[in-house]
Amino acid sequence: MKLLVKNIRGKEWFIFLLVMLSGLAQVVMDVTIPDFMARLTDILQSDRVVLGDVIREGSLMLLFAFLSLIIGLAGAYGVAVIAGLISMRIREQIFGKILDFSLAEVSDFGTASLITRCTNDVTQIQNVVVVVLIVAFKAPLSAVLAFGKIVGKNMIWTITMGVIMLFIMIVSLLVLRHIMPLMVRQQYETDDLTRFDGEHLRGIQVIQAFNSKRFHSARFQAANDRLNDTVKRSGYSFTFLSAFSNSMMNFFNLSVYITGAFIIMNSSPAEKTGLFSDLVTFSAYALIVMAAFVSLVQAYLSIAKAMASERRISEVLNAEVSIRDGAGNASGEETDSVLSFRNVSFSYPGASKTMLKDISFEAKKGETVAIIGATGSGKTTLLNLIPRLFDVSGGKILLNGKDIRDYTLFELRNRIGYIPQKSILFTGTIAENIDYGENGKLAAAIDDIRRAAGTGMADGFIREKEEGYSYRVSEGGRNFSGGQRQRLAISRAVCRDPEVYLFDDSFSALDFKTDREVRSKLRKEAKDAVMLIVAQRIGTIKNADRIIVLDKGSIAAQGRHAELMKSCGIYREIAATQLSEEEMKAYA
Amino acid sequence: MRDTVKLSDFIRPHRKALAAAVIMGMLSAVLNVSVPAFISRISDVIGRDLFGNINLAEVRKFGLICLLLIAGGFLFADLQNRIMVEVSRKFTGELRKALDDKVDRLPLHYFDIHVNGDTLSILTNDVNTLNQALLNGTIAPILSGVTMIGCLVLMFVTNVTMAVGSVLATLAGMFVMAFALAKTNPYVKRQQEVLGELNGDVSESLNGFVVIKSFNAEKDVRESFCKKNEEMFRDNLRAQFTNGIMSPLMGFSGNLGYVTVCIIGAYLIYAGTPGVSIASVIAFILYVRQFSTPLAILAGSLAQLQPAFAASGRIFGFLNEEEMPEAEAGKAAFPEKTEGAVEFDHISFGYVPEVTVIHDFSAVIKPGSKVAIVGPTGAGKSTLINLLLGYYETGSGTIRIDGTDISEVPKEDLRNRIGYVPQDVWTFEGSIKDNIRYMNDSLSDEDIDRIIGLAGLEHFVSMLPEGADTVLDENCSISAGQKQLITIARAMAKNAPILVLDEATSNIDTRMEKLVQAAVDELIKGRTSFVIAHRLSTIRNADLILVMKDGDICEQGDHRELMEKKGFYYELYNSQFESED
Repeated sequence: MKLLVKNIRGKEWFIFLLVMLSGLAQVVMDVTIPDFMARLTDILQSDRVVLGDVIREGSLMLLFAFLSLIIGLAGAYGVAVIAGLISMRIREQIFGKILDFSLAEVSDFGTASLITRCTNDVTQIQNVVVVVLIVAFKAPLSAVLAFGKIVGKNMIWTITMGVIMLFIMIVSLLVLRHIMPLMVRQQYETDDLTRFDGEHLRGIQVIQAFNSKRFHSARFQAANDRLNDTVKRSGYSFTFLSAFSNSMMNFFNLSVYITGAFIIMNSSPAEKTGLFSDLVTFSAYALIVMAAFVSLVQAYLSIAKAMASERRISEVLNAEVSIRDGAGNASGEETDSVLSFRNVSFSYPGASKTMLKDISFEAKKGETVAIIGATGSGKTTLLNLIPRLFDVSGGKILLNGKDIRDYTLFELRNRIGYIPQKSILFTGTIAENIDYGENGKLAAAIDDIRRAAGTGMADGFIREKEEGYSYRVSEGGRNFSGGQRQRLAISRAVCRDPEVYLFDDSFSALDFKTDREVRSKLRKEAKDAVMLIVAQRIGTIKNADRIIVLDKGSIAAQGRHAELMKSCGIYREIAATQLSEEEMKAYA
Repeated sequence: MRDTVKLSDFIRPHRKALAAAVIMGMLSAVLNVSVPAFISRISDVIGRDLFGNINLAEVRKFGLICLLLIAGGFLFADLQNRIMVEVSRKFTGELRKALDDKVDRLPLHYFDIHVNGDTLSILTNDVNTLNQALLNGTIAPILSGVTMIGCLVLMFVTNVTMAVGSVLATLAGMFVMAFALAKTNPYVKRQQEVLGELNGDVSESLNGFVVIKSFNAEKDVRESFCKKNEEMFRDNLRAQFTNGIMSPLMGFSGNLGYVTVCIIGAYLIYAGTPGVSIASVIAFILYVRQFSTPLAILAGSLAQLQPAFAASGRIFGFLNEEEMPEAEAGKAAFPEKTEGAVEFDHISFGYVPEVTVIHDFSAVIKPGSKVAIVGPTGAGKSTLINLLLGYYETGSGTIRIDGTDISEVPKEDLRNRIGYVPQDVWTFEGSIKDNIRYMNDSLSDEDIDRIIGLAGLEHFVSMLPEGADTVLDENCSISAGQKQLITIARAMAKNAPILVLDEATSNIDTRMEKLVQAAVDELIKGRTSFVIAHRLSTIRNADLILVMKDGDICEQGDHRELMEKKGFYYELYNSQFESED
């Protein structure tokens, strides 16, 4: 509810007021129009029908009806505006919040769940807003108006009405208690389905290669059945309630007449006429009260139903973001190192296992630092700490002498060019993909983009495309080969002109020649930049100013290639798998 | 040519149930409507003997009838609900299943040009919209339609002039309604599309989250999302408005009809038209009042059905997407025992017809040989693998396995014979064990343990608290190299006669790679294997090296021959060892 109120702003409250007034006016019309109808019928039933009277009364009624139509249209417009605005804003807030998240929060919620929360859950909320806006003002008013006509008329009937309304309420609350958990479950089961569907779409190539369609279909089917079962149970409860309320209203009408018969029987003749006419009006107006009551109960149920979605959305909006901006003004220490790791240790949030232990090294202006180590030794984890995709658990990382947690994230990341292990590209043109994001400077001109692509050795294959830099990239870059994707990802980082390059095994899909050419171009283009290179190939890192050998999250050794060949057993072993015998001998 | 799939194909199996629901609904409506009639009889009974002895027996009798009617009305309504809920459950289940199956029959090309999140939106949001409409929007309009027809018949029987008058007034309202619906239809359609695009944006952003964050691209991504979100608002506004005006519009047209009839009736009485009595005019007016309620319900349902039609358009558009051609079963078959001879016969291919990626590629591979495909990035190595696995149809030329054209064999048979480690690592949400066993249910846990050992995963798995039962999901911090080892283990478990490794070890450290390579070599002994690798050390022992450049083979031979040739391969090989200054 807070979510809704918060998202109506300023002048929109006037629209809200309009919706309210329109609701009120419509109720008044609804009550008045039958009077006109009755009068018309009376005229027709009178002994002498005067055509003029009919036309006069008819025109009046039409005028009234037309007024009601206009008010109705205005109200409908108001409802549409408010419902649309609320859902637009909520959607925007969720997405904005997701963008503020760090990786830890994204994996906590799960990708699929965030997708459903951003679309499906918002739709649920919007539907309810419409129901509430239409019913919430009309129903209580017509209930009050109608109740005013019968209040104090007859104690017994009033009590009957109260008892039956109470009964409907109790049943509704029972239904509510039954469906609330179902609604929550339904949304989570929708997440499951989204997750399996997404998995299916992403893994289609492997799934086809392994003929594992049946396996995934079975999983999907199970999730599908679970969801359908939940939807069925909650759906049934809803329809049950409306059928039940309907019958209860008829039942009430009946009980008023039956009790009426007995009351009139046992009353004094003087009271009888009054009682009888009371009976007719009471039943007519009490039905209006009950109908309003029932629609209110149903509106309330719809709200309750959407509460599951509201809670899921609030969870996202209120989630604590674990990685936040630094103050940006703290002063650092004097150092000639661009990047320094000081006794850094790290474990993933919620995991007990230490991924990195006591990592310390320095990288000065223009230096290349390479990181090599076994699969799972923590190389990627180490790189991820620098743009603060995760925060260190112990120790600190300094950039130009200042703790990276003292920078604003924007400022910190402006200085970094990250080429992740998986070269993810986005739908859009090649140019958009290279000139990606912000670096605190002006957007790159096409010449800058070309230069970046030239350094990343992507210019060649881009030129071969008829559309050149306007060529459309499909999601994830599926319409490029693995090596081309890597070169585009490298160009994208070059285009930022960063102080620190982070290459996470970013040359793996390149042939050796391209690998070398890219690196030598980079060195020329970005003389002063620090390059941190994670690689498997000795050739890629041989000339680095410092090579760090990671072993199970700790630094086993660091030094230059030649030193490590002599001093570090692990390094020698890695080299032995790649170098020719002559080369190995040279270091023996 | 495959028949197009239509919504009616999914409705048809439930037509009996739907008919039953309509009948139940009608019975319930009739019973519920007749309750007031009997209550007014009670009222009559009371009124008749107001000052005498009210006939309580009669009151009781009518009361009992009413009770029965109410109970019956409730019972039939409940039955209708039960049927509809069940139908909608089955319908949605079947539709989702069909969509899920369809995903597997699409050519890979479909995914090259569509955003996953948009497809996902069809599978989830659009199906939900359609289901909601089926559940809430089908019976009510049918019932209203029937009631309206009933009223119309009674009206025409009573008086044709008045009936025409009231129908004309109603038609005017209907016309405005139809106009409004037609006007907003494109926006409603667009609304479902934009919802899909939004879904695509969210899903793409989450998949590329690391890049967005480290490139400070949040603002751009957010802006692009907001632009679509605002478009969504505008489309939604129109759709919602149309939806909202239906009921006031119909209310007005009902009132218009009422007044029209009153005036015509008055005129008829005034003119003394034979056969027109005051009573008949009054009766007629009652029909008109009955007529307007279902009209309003019908209008409301139509507006609700509109997004469902848009959703259905997207769903069936997807279901009717062109499928990957599938060879007829039994047209051709591989020999019982696969030898693993592979022949590429003048293959040419382009992902889009205008751009050929592979030009006239031919090669003959003897059974049991280890074939390496090397070449610069973008030379078409993975494309060749995509063709061998039947993901795309060759433009021209034939690929044969043991002499059988692979395009004439069902894809399932083809792929049963190939173990595949793709370039892009993909694991599904499930335990490491399940990811390795993957469809090979005959493998015991011991077998899996052995494969874990062979694939170099033993140490990694033993460090996990839950070992091989650890579930791989988004929360699992597992390195890309370890994932790659799992995909290799998966291919090992498949134990197929032909093995394809597309840069299968690119993220694995070279010591580990050597161990895995040894295991793989052991595994592929006597089998045909295709290896794409940039680290040429891993392929030195290949029987045949195909050197690709710009979509064609420029050299082939074994390592020694190619080195002696001092050609392109020689250059590539030596480039590994050159230093950069």
